Amino acid sequence: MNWALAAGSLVAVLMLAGIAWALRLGESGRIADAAQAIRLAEEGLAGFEASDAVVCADGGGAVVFGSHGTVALIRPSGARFIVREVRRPQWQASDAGLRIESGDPIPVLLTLNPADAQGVGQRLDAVADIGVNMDRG
Amino acid sequence: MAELPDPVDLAVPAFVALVLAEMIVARVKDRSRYCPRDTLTSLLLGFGSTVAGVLSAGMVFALATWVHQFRLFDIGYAWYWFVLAFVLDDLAYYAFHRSAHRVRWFWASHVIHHSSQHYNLSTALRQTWTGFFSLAFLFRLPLFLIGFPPAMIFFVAGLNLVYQFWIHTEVIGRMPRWFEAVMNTPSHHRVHHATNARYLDRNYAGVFIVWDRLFGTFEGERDDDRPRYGIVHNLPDFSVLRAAFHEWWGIAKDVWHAPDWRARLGYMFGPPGWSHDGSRDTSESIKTRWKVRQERRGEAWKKPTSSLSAQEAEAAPPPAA
Repeated sequence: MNWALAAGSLVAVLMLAGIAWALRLGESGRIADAAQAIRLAEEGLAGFEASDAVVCADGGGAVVFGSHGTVALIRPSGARFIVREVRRPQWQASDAGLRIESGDPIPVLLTLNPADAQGVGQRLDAVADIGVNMDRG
Repeated sequence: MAELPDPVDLAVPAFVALVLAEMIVARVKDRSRYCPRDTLTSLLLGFGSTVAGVLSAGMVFALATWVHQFRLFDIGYAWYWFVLAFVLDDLAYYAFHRSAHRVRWFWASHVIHHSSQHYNLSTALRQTWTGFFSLAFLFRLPLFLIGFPPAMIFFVAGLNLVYQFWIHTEVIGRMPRWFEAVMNTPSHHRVHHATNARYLDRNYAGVFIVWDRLFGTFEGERDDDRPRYGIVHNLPDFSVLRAAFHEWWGIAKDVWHAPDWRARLGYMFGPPGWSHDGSRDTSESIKTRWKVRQERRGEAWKKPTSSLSAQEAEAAPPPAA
């Protein structure tokens, strides 16, 4: 590879990325409903068996409750989704909704009213306690 | 020494044109096939890989030339030697690629290529920056010992890489049966990039899928189990540096915290996901859990009772043909 080809390749990289934007490819992923959240969790996490899910109204985040005190957190990432299995995640309820730490640099944010946010957060703790007791046999 | 062109350099304009064409198809058929941030990451990783390749090419070529002086046979530049070199280089690629998925040291370098959740032609260009560091070139050394000239091997290796570009697409469904039987195709390679338990660690072929059929690693794509792309623990963002180095960083942390030397070696050279306390998932543990679940659902599906929910019935596997 010579310098001209290197420079040309870099120009092509930026041009193609620009065209992808201009064509409005990759619509932002949104979690449509609880059924989709459950499917994403069970497909993305080996052995995860979901019972039910909470999806915020704008589809920007979901919590899927599973067996044995495990919880799956889901958030959109571009046109796809990031799914993480967590145990006893740190959470914070506020007027903006529920913020849950997933272990990633980006937390999962659920736009919920304060009462619902508090309720889901408390359920996260309760489920984790059940999981601990089950682990202890 | 023969002067041979670099097929990859020559193919760059075609790569650009085909990515552009696939984007237009995606715009018409399914816009989620591409994601601008993912595409930019893939293309920057491809560009960086080319730069890294240029920086290490001299050392790799010098090593190949040094090994070549101990060759068993004198092999010239007749066309049929190119053909044989192409086939044997593809076998060496299979061995490398299988190791790249089964040994964490090589996986740390190769994971870049699998780190996108998209499967399109830009994913093909998402290539490693650390191939030289991971010693991936070792897999080609036997070819120089046999007697194939280094220039010939690097030429056919370039052709191999160019071939693999077009199979990174969802635009093409299945090729004619005879072609699917012998060659690596978009369908076979979609399986390779999938994280579905059924598809993990399958279809390592570069050009000829016959290697997978021969060595028992072939899995056909199924219409009832559409591939989901990426890695078991998908990256949290589109950072180029994270994609390029995250597994190396993971190895460093694991080795640092490992309780003993056996564990340190396991974290470097064990299969991806290996851990000294068994707390992490390997492809084997994922497959095992998946099979148990499939069997349980299969049993539930067979029961002639009303305990089967509509959802389970829908998920039940089709009867074997």
